[in-house]
Amino acid sequence: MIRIAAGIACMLIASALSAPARAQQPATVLVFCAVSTTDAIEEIRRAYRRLHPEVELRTSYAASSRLARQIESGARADIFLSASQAWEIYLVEHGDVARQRDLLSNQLVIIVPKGSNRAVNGPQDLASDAVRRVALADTSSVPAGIYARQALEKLGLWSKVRGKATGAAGVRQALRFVETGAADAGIVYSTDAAASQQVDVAGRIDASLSEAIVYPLLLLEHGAKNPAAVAFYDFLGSPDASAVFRRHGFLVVRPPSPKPPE
Amino acid sequence: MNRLSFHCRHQFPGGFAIDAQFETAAQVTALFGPSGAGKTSILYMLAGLLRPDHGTIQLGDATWLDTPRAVCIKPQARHVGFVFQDHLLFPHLTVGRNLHYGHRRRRGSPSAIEPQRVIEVLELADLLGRYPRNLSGGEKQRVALARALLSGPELLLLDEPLAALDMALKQRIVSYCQRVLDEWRVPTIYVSHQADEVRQLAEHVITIEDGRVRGCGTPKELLGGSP
Amino acid sequence: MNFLNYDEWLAVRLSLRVALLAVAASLPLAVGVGYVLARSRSRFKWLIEVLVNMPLVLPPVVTGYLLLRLFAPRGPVGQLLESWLGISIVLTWWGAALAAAVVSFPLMVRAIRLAFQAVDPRLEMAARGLGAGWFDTFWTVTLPLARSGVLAGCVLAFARSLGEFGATIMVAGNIVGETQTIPLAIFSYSNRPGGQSGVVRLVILSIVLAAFALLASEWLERRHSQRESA
Repeated sequence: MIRIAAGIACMLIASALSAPARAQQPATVLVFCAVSTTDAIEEIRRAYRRLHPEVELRTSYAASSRLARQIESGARADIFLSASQAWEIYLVEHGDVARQRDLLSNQLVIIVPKGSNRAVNGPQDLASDAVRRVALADTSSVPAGIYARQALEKLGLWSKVRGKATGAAGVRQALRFVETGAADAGIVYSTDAAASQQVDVAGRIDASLSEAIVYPLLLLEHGAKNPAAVAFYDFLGSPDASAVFRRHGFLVVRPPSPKPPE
Repeated sequence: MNRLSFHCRHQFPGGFAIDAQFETAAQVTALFGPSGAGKTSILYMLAGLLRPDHGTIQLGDATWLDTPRAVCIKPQARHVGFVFQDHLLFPHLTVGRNLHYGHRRRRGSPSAIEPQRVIEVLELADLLGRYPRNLSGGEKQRVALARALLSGPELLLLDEPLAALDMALKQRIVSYCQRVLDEWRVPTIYVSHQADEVRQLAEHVITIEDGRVRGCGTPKELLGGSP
Repeated sequence: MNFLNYDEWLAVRLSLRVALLAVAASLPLAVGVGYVLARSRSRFKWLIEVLVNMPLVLPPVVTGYLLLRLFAPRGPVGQLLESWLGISIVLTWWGAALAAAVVSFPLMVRAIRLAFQAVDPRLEMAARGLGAGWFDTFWTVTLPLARSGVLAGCVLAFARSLGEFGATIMVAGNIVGETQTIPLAIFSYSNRPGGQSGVVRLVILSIVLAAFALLASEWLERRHSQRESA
């Protein structure tokens, strides 16, 4: 019993002694990113580490809805790359945002399991009986799901498709459902489809069918006080970062030209 | 009375070894010896609950164990009635059900052992509805004896049935045993380290010490003294 | 029922159905595995223990991902199911039950194993001596004596199945009326602005259900132990 107590005491002392050392550790930046940007951000992170080894970039990937809720509840994130403008507006109203810009755009595509012989060529085929399950991210909260629903509604197909929707927690999970054949077809971002070898793209969803798919980049209040975060925020808009995004299939939004001084 | 022949060798982990051989045709045979001599292990081998490394066991024409020829009859096929030191009554069954357990599963032998008679002889009529946890030590042992009997055994094995009882009770239970043995004449092997019980009940005694047979004969020859 | 709206009511019914199926389907296997682990002295026991306890230490989403890979139409088991029986269990309530069963299996086995260990093996010997074969002994002596532990394992597994989320959504998706169990419904509601009241209702209901399950197990155990121990 005494030995256990002594062991615990040693551990506590050791951690207390190491705490001041942590203060001298590299500056950390906490970046929240929509799941669909995972691969691109990871590549940018590695590049940034070579340029700025003293900065520690921590990333958290999840559905934008979840990340927004976490920020609203007080999570100490510095930067938020959201997959929808709805959450951007939400956070701006909440007073969490210091700077913002539209960074990326994406496209919705229809995918089927690789080698599938089901006749799916466009959104209208999703309503046919040959397609039993359609993999969609949760259509009331996840941006990819919301955009997909808007498109299907505009095409008058939603009432037939809604009963087949899988309600995946995120767009990557919708991708998994199609990869494994659990769903006969699905709607995901073109960037997700490109990242997987187990699906085929069967059709595209025209951009006009849903609200603009824009990925706003937000510098949060917490990050504005963090010089390393501000630097990374700017870096994400740089030509180097844009090249990475384009390589992964994103469309990069041209920054608005600076207004002439009054 | 069928002849029982036993010749087994077994090495236990930890060093103790049994190497015993005996034959008996007596109705009540006692295995007598100090604690730890291996008497209980021999009983387990007879019952089929312990399989020795080498050996043969035969009762009359039936071969229960023959290791060279890879014969080993399972315990439930040997028609043996076992009374354990701590009775081992089934706690989730009433006395009546406990008695019924072996009786229902007896094989073949149109046994002359009538449940009613057993209950009479061992005076269990009042206890039938009770659960083992509500019985005294002596009562539990009587029930265990009855249960073993009712399974219609060809061989009755009693493993120090009186060890857990106090002096006064011992005598009572010995007399119950006597009644049972007189009434049904089932061949019995009785294990004990107490000379008195052995003198009272056994016709033939085999002394066991250190895992080996030391001697055999009548109680008078081996133990002397008056019954 | 005015306390819950229709979707919520569906979630409750589905949760109960899924949990009951999960427990009922895994019970025989859990009893078998629990007995083997309790009595066996084989050198390979550790292997079974590791396999059985995997779902306990893996994050549920990982378990769910593995199950999806195995049971989806393109997975090894899924292909067998489709060709033999023509069915697919992912994205159905069967899949939800599978996820719940796998995740709660280690809990069930643990409780059952303890119950069997508490049964004196010599009682089994006594039964054998009285003429009972191996299975007869198990059914008439071992199992009745281990009953309260087995029941405790079932209740534990039931409660765990009611609360299972990560593996369920991976294997069965979040389909209202088909696979949207209570935890998934709470998840959906919490992601929607204005879903707060739905969340609260469902959370209250979850607590009530769990309390019922625990009380039931308490009562059963008390009744059983009154007739127990020699």
